[in-house]
This record gives sequence, C-alpha cells and structure tokens, in this order.
Amino acid sequence: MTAMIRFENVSKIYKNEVGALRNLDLEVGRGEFVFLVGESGAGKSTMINLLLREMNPTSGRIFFDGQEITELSNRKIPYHKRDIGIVYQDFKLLNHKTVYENVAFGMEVVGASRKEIQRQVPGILSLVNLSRKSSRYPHELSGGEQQRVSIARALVNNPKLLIADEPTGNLDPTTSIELMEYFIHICNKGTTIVMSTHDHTIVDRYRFRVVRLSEGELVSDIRRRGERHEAI
Amino acid sequence: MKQSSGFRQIREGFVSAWRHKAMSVASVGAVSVALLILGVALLIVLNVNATVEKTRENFDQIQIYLSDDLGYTDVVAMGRAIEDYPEVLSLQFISKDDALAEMQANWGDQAELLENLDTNPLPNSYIIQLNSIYYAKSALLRLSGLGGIEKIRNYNQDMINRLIDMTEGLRTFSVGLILALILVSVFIISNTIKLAVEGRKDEIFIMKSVGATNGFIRGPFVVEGIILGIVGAGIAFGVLLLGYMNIANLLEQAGISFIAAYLIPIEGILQDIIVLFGTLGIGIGAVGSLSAVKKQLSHKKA
Repeated sequence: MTAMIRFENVSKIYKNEVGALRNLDLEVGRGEFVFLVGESGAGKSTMINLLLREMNPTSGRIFFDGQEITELSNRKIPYHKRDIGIVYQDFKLLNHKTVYENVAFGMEVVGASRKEIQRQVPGILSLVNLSRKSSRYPHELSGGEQQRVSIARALVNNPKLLIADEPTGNLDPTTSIELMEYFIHICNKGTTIVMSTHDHTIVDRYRFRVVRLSEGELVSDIRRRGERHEAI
Repeated sequence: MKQSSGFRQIREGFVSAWRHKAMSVASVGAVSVALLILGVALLIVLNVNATVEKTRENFDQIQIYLSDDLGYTDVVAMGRAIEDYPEVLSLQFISKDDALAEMQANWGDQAELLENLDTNPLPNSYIIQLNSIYYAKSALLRLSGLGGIEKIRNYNQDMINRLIDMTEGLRTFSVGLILALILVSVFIISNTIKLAVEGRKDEIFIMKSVGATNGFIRGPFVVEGIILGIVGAGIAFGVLLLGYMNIANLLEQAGISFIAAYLIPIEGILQDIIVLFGTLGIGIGAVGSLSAVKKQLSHKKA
C-alpha cells in the first residue's frame, strides 16, 4: 500500500534562510500519528505549507496518497485541500456563527447540499462531544471547546489527513491532554495525523513517532513502541 | 446542490452590499453618473445625426415656385426642359391646389382659417430631385436662367457642415469623458469590494483552507459588484428616459419648441440603450470586483 505522505529529497530555499528545508526524505503511513517537533524556523511550517500545496519546493517531489502534488495545477489545489483537515493554534473560528454553523461552513463552501450538511454535522459534533453546545457562539466556550469545534470543522469533509499546527499552544496542560484524547480517538478511527508541537509534556506522554527538524534538516525520526493508545 | 450554492452566493452578495451602504451608494452613484453622461451624449449625437441626414436629403431637392403668369403649356414645356438636365433624377409637379391641400393638412385644427380664402395664394411648383448634392450648384445656375420662376428654394450647405463638425467634436469629447468616468467607476466599485473582502478575511482564510474553489470564494463579491453596476445602470436609465420623454416640454419652456419636432422617437433606441447600459453596468461591476479579489486569491508562488 502506498504511503499517505512521501517527501523525496525535498528542498525549499528562501532568500533569508529562515524556515528553509534541506534534502528532506520522509514517509508517513496511513493511519499513523506523527509528532513534528523542532524550534521555530526549523522548517515545520514550510513542511505543512508544502503538504497543503500552498507553495512548491525548490527541488524534490512530494506525494500525497500516491499523487504527486508538486505537479498539481492551480485549479486542482482546492480539491487537494479537501483531503486535508487543518487545526490551528488560534482556532480560526467565525465569531458571528454558532458552533453548528462554524462546522457546517466547512461543508457549505465546498458546495455540499443542505441535506448532506444536516446528515454529517451532528455526527461530527458528537465525535468531539459538543452536541449539547451546537447553538452556542465561540465566545461562550472554553479554549478546549473552541479547539474541538475547529477539529470538527477540519474533519467534516472526511479528510484523509489531519494536520494540527500547535493545537495546544493556547491551552493549559489539563485541557491539552484532554484534547489529545480526541486526536487519538480520531487517529484510531483511521485518519492520519501530523501534529506540529512545542509541548514536551505531550510528546513524552504519548509514545507516537517523533520527527525532529533542525535548521531545515531531519535530525531524528524515532518510532516508539505501543503506538496504539486506548481512546477515552 | 448547484442551485443551493448559487443561491447562497447571490444572497451573500446582497448582504455584503447592504453592509457597506455608504460605499455601495458611492459606487452606484459613480456608475449612474458615468452612464448618464454617456446616455446624454449618445442621444445628442444620434439626434444631430438624424437631423443631418434629414437635411442632407432635403438638399438633394430644389423646389421652384412658378409665376402665376405661366400658362399650362408653358409649365409643361418648362418641366420637359428641366427633366432633360443631366443633374436631374426626377421631377414632381405640385399644383396650387395640391399645395393648399397639403397646407390645410399641416395646419390641422387651424385649417378652417384657409377655407375663407377667395383665391388660392399659393403658386404652382416643381420639386426637382437631383442625382447628387454635388450637382446642386450647376443645377441652380441653369434654373436661374429660366424665366417665369418666382423663387428657388434650396438648403444651406454651411449649416450641414457646422452640424457635422459639432457632432464630431461632441463625440471625441464625450468618448474621452466617458472612458475616464468608467475608469473612476471601476475604481470605486473595486474599493467597495476590497472593503467587503477585508471585512471577511477570516471567512476567506477558512474557505481557502478547507478547499473552496476560487470561483466559489469570488462568487459573492462578483455578485455584489454586478449588483452595484446594475443598480447604477438602472438609475441612469430611469433618469435618462424620464428626461428624454419630457424633453419636448423642457424645450418649450426654454422657448425652442421647434427642435422637438426633430427629436428621434425614444422607442426606436430604447432597446439599444438597455443593452448598452446593462452590458456596461455588469461589466464595470464585474471588472471592479474581480480586480479587488484578485490579490486575495492568488496562490503563493514557488
């Protein structure tokens, strides 16, 4: 079976050197959970932006689910993005929309019908345990709950890959661990997860694969035993 | 599925135009003014052209009024002679009685004033249709040599030339002015839409990140621009139509009512103006909004 993600000798050179990537080779299998660690400017964001096809590498090839995304035409980029859900550190929720509407928005804008939305959204909300808060507005929720809304939105179009970019950066330790349980649950249901993080406690606590970047190079790739964790 | 998302885009466009009322009003105003000036210039040019055409046709004709002293045979002989002129295409005899009947028809309500006349004061006349206006001079020269003619009526070339010069000047001036105004309208609409884009930056960010197509993201903004363009065109059309329909009254008030008779009827050009204004309104709106969202949607280059 083909890998979910494959970087083949990928380099990305910027004028000011910061965030560049050098000769990166990396493969992530289907259903894997990968921590992406490294200081700011080590190239984590560059990797994510390359995966999203926000830009192309200076050299090398990138495959997503067997498809070489470096070859994608601009027209096809939006459809590629639908296969990837993203969760940001600052949630990026729309404050004038309710929890339900925020999640539904993710489907509306890719042209889903009202029927499809009504069928899909409640299930996703119950997955992140927010069914009872579906008519609340983001400012009425805790940070952890807001992040769960953004996870629900990222998952609503059934992506193959979930990218979490510092998802616990704005949360306290207890909430972070609680949130991790949701990610693990989602991963156990078959979604590949790449999580970039600075949070050592989290990385140490869960024995998932850790990919470490430093100054644009892959410095370590550690697979640990016991990758399957029990979900909540 | 397609229908519901199309409806969504149109609704979003209206909502957004309403949200930025002041800028929307400015955009609509700019489009109206540009198209109104275009419309006024167009109507003037069309009317002057029509007048010139009419005058030109008239100039092909020379009417000679015959002396009452001429007898029947003299009149017929003169007609034969004139018909043989190389400049002449055709000849029409208008008798005193024909002329009076025509006059009565033209006077309408006041025709009864003519009924009390003891004798018909109008002369017999010939209307000479020339092959071309260029023969007018030589034809006039020949005619002036004939006896028994009371008066020769023809038309003034200078006036025609002045009318032509005037329309050409107006055309050049208005084309420049209208182009400038259209650019200003595009710019103002573009700024209105930029404001709308700015207000929805967060939504656009999310739309892009979940994989909405550029067309889908652009949709509501283009709809908004087109709405502004169409509303502006509609206002300009309404004002122009009302003004033109009332122009006879306006001219009368200005003491130049005779011009009203030369006005081309609005029905004949109504459809052309609707098409022109519609196209320009939609075009200005679409170009303005597309230029506003272009930057937001460009992909980062490698």
